[in-house]
Amino acid sequence: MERKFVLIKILNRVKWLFSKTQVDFEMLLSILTLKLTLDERKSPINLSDGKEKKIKGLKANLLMLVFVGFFVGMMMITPFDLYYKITIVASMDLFFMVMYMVSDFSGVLLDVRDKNIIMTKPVNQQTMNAARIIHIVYYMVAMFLALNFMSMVLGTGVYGPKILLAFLVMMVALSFLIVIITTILYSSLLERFSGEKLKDIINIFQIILSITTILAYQVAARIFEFVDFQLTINIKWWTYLIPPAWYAGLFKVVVEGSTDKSYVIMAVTGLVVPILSGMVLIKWIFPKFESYLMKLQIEDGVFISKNNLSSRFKAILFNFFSKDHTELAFMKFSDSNLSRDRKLKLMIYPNQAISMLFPFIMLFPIIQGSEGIIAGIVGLKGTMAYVVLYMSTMFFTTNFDFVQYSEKFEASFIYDSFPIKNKNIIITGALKAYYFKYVLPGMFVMSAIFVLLCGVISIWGVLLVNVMTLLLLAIKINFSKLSLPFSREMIPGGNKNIGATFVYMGICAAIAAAHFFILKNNPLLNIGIGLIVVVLIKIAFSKALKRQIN
Amino acid sequence: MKSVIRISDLKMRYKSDGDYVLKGVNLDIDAGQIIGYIGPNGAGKSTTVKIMLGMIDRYEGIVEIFGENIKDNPVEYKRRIGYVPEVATIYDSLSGYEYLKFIGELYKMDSAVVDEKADELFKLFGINEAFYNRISSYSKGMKQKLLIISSLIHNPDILFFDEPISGLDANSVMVFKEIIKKLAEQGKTVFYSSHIMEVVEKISDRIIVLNDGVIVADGNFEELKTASKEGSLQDIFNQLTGFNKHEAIASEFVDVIVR
Repeated sequence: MERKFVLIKILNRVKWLFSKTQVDFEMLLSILTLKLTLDERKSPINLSDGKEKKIKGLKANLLMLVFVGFFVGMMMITPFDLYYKITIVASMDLFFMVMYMVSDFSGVLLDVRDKNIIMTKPVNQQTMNAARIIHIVYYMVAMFLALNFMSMVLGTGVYGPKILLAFLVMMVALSFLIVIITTILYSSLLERFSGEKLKDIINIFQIILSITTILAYQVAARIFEFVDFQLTINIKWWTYLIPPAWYAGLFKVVVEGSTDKSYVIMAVTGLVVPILSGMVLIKWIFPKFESYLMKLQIEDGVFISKNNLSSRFKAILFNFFSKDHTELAFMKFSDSNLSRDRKLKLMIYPNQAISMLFPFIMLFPIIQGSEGIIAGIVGLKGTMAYVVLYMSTMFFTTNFDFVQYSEKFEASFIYDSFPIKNKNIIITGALKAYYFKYVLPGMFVMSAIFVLLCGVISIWGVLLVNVMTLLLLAIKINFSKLSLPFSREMIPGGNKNIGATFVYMGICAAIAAAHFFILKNNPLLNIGIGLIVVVLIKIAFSKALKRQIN
Repeated sequence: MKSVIRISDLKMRYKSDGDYVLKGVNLDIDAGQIIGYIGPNGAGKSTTVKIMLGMIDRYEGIVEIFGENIKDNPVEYKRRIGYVPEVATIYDSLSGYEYLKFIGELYKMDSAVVDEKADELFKLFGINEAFYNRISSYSKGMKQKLLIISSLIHNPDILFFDEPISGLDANSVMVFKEIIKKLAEQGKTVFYSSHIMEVVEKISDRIIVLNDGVIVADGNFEELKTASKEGSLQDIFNQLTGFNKHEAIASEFVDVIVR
């Protein structure tokens, strides 16, 4: 393969490093080129935002990290103590690097194909291990530089080039620590779980990572408006146990030349712990790695339907709301798919999180305007702040589009091969399952929070928002030409109808505005409109479904 | 003739307190033989092959390939081995061309030779239009053809084929069977494991039946036939693995369906 990567060019310069080892240098380069090519072609984690991705793989992830690091890097020009700044920077590094290691890089670390393809070729174990280690180091350095780019630039401006030395030391120590943490995490997971279970757990990590990244997007810029930093540094005994504090101490020593005993202790801890645990890792855990790889291939997903309270409740709910036997079958089918398709979950959950987060982001300016956060929150009582719930509604209803996709979309041949007269029943089944699984619980939580915030008087208005959600769901479906559930390949972008989406958003906004200006908190008006809407829902849905029939 | 593969008293268990998957396998294989390696699911066929390929190293017993214990020199012998795995694991975001280039590099082949061979072999298999396409876009049969090419491109002396014809169309199967014969004529050893008895019966010089971790029969088809007094390899297989309920199970199965 073409060896166009920077890493390969650098390695070519330091070829002599490998001359005394058993590593076959040419093969090392071949394997690394393969790995980097695969990285490049892998699609990024956040497939969900619908834009066409020109930048893929590692590069896309790095850009994301630069973006996150940008806001945290701004810290450097604030007047806080260096100790605080670095605590926050190092916490961010630790979180994002561990998360990426687990969710994204795990595929590289634990690629079972290596065993089947490379290890059946004349490649010795040393070469394979060297390739793995270099690949990990490369990934770590790239992530670290991306995350800390802004901090380093601004830090150099404020503290002089000495800070770069501190960053270099932190990069080495922190990378070590992260590899160790990840490996221990994985080993303990693999010790207990295998195959399918493990993939589920990795999936959870991926979802958490996506949600946090999105949160970072939304919240990072605003965070300083909220947090009151105490300017006095307060070191307690447990401070010594927090890794980010070690590196904050390290910076105090290296950059500011502090000889304070606690900073020195932290700095030394930050270096000694990675080295010691690294030695443990190489001696005890690495030798076990190959056998862990074998466990990954074991398939052990067992799904025996439980007869607990929630599943019985679900059964009753589904029975009650299904039109007939076929629709019930498709409700259950969609429900299982929505809970098991890992890629689909990776698309839906982060959007579910945004849907539930956005109303609060909308409230930021309102709360900010008053004196203090507490006063701001108390001040919401009796207001109509709950109209921001329409934000959730808009996202929840739009997210229904995801139901069309599946990791194994080819399996949708069953819709054609089964004797199903009215294919609408498949869509309504999926719609009901989606509503009960995502929309209803999401809206319930949000409604409860807003009734608490806005007071009991808001209860009728909040109820109306919930009824409107159903109407808007019907309207949304009217706007789109849906494929049958789980029948489309997940390709980001290319299939969003921007115009229709804008019109739909306009409708949501208009309804919210009407609610805010006309209905107000008047219970009678709210109930009256609610009843009318219930009738409209029925019409809107039947119209929406007529549209879907091919 | 000197044996190319010699296995003595091979035992293997996956967990240190678990049951043995292989319970003492002994084998001696000469160059130029086509070995049909058959057995029911879970008999230990794939495990044997994986051990010979160095993918599993925690076995008991001795495995010698080309007259050398594979534990003494676990790398060099692989230069002369080709392998088509049962499950098509492949770096499928590469193109077929890139994949073969990579495999060629691992075998330290001359780059121009790989180019030339890859191109010709793709043409001969009739899949040259997919040469530069991503493997993930290949059909099952195309993937299988790629795996076969990648197992042969370095001109190995021993071939391990695990269900190599799954997904191939009837014409390609005919071509492939002929390729196996020609390879054996070149003095190459073919280790062929499959569940398709008709093919094994036709192509094998020697048939080894593995059941529950031990070899229960070893010989050419005629010998096996005489020993078991059965007509086809399928019948011999059923007899050896103690399976005679197929009719009973089938009729019960249909009973359940039409009930």
